[in-house]
Amino acid sequence: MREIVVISGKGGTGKTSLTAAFAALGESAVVCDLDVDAADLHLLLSPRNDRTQQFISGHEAVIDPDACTGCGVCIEMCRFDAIRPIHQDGAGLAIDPRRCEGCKVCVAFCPASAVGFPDKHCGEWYVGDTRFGTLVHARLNPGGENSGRLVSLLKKEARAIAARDGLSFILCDGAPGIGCPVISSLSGADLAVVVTEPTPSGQHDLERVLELCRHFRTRACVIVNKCDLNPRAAQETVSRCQAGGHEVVASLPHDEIVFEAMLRGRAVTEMADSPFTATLRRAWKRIIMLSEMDREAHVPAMNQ
Amino acid sequence: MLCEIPYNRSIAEEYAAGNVLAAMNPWLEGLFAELRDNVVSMARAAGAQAAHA
Repeated sequence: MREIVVISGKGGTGKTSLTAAFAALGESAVVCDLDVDAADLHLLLSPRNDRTQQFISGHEAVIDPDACTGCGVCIEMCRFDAIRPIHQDGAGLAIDPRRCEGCKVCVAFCPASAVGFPDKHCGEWYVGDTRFGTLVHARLNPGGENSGRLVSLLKKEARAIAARDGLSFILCDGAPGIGCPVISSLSGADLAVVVTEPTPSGQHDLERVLELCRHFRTRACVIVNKCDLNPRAAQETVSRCQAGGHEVVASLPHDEIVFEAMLRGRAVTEMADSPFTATLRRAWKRIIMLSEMDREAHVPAMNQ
Repeated sequence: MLCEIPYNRSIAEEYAAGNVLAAMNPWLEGLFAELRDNVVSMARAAGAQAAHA
């Protein structure tokens, strides 16, 4: 079983559109949306029969108003300034969930034992059936924490489904950036497919995400999307990737077929055959080949 | 709704070249000036509302 993760550094490069396109071409794959903060692959894949699970992670402090004596010890102890009076006269205390870090000091020091510490409901995750197979995805609540942990949970579920059904691939749509959910999505991946664009921010963020891949010794290849918007910058990106030992598996033009597919809720590879879709098919074949190579091989060393 | 920006390839090319869109042509300059004014008005209104709360 091989894991392929599509990431980007910069947001808006076309990561989800390309993941959907590969999902339509991929045979024997579980598809997994790891962009849990802003998941939208399901909009293109339209899963049916979603099985829903709660994502419970961490705890939150909650003051029981009936037990609280209003002594204010918790206010003095809270270093995050997360406890405030509810009323202007100082009566009644409440915890501001935006400030609470879950350190549990208020729970430990409340003389009336009025502060509870229940599990925190941070979102939901789902397993659904799509026209391309099983989709594992999630929705983190706004402000929900532990996105990296949720990513890890989704990957674990995808691996279990792939093992159970004897599937060859797990194809993941990662998050933009280089933070916690991206790091978590790279864990155990055989290949990172980095989608970039020939813009200043696209080039800048590509360097950062490739550095992340090198750090975690994850092999990475690159797709230069919208390459004709700035051909000179696109060529510069290709040269830099080659110098760093990262294969560029496709350079794709800024083609309106992508927007047409998106507006129809389809993967671009479900549209009529065109040079664009032909390039994508070749890229997907190459991506599969790269993912099947020995994991430790061809990972450029740090500082390259 | 503060502003509507159409799908336009020349805008994407300008962005890819690292240029400021508001300086691209008089129409976009006007659009972004209006957007700025709307954002400032909204922020002022929100600030006044918060001060009364």
